[in-house]
Amino acid sequence: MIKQILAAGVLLAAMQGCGSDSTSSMGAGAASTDLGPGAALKCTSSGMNAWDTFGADAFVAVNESIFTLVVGDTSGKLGGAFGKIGTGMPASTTDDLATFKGNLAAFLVYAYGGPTSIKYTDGKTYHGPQSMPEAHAGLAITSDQYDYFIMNQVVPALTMNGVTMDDVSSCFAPIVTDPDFKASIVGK
Amino acid sequence: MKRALARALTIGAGTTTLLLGMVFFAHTSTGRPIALGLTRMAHGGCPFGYDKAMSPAERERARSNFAASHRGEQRAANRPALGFTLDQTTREQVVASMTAHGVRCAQGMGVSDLSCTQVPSAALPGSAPGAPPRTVWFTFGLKDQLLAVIAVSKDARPEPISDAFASTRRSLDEQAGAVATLQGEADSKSLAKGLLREASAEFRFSNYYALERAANMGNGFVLTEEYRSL
Repeated sequence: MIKQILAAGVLLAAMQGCGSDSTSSMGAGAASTDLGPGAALKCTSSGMNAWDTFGADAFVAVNESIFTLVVGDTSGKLGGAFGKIGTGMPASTTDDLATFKGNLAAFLVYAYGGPTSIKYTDGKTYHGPQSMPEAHAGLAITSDQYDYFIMNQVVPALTMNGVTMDDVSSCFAPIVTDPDFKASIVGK
Repeated sequence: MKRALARALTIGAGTTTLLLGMVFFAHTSTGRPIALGLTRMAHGGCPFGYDKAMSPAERERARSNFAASHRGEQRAANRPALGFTLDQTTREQVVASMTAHGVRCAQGMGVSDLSCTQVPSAALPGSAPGAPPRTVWFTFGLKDQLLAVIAVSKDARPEPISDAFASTRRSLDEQAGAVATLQGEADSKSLAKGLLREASAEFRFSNYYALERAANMGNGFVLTEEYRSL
């Protein structure tokens, strides 16, 4: 009985944590001198990095498209890592979608030359610099699942929002195909 | 003065006892997973974890959701699925077939519930001959019937992936029916042109869905194939 009460208490605390662990921040669009790894990349179309080329609206659109494709995917290639987000099974996964979206958006913006924190469409502030090994700890994502995610969710999300293949190759791909970056996510 | 000192000592002793109790609890069988969850939560992750396999009912529901947004109008003439029969082949038959070819399979995660690695073309009679070994995910429904087969193969050179893409495309065209959507160029030169260069062929029918996609992943070329019963 004591075990059940303790577990229930921690479960409630955990649910709260899942929905709000990214809200404390340094403020919307806070200026920073920190630059992400993609800041130095140049898009073929513009000669500038992806953030300077496409801007906030495009990053939001791409981020939303990624999640539309992820939630629509039933292949199981993504393993459990994304498989339950937004399904409502368990119910907490529905709420998690907003936080996952905000975290991914902040990471993408920062990684590709934008600020270190953003205020996302839900009005909350999210930080870009994130530890990939910590964020993926315990998910046991495989190399195939990672490749599938990039091939079937990320690249289509970019191209369906007007990013050309030349720009995908020049100012987006070098980050996500970098072996060290991939190694920071796979097998954790 | 004495009373204040006694109070401070009492609070200190109480706090120490509580902390020691928490540390002890965190190392018990009950406390360990909770402590791990809290640690992950503190690091920005969700403590629930997302590594549980879905139930057959959840997989059937996922299939219905997918079908609602991906169904075509015509019925497929045939429904190729790497030599397996959608809605008929059972998990037991898949495992027996894989075992007979010396292939190891394990419990999958998420929607997929059987994962087999290093599967040679010889173990997949409907696949393109000479294609690189695949990782294959199988999904089964409430009656243990095959709902979907999904495969990933990789090669350091673009030619085997490009050839497998073309062969699979031809096979699907001939067996199922005309392709619904084509994107990108899958010839080896186009794929080799740059990082994440992709090509895809999507087939949509009222009772069947197939998608193949080839891409340059930087450290190799990858082909993904998906065959689903709708």
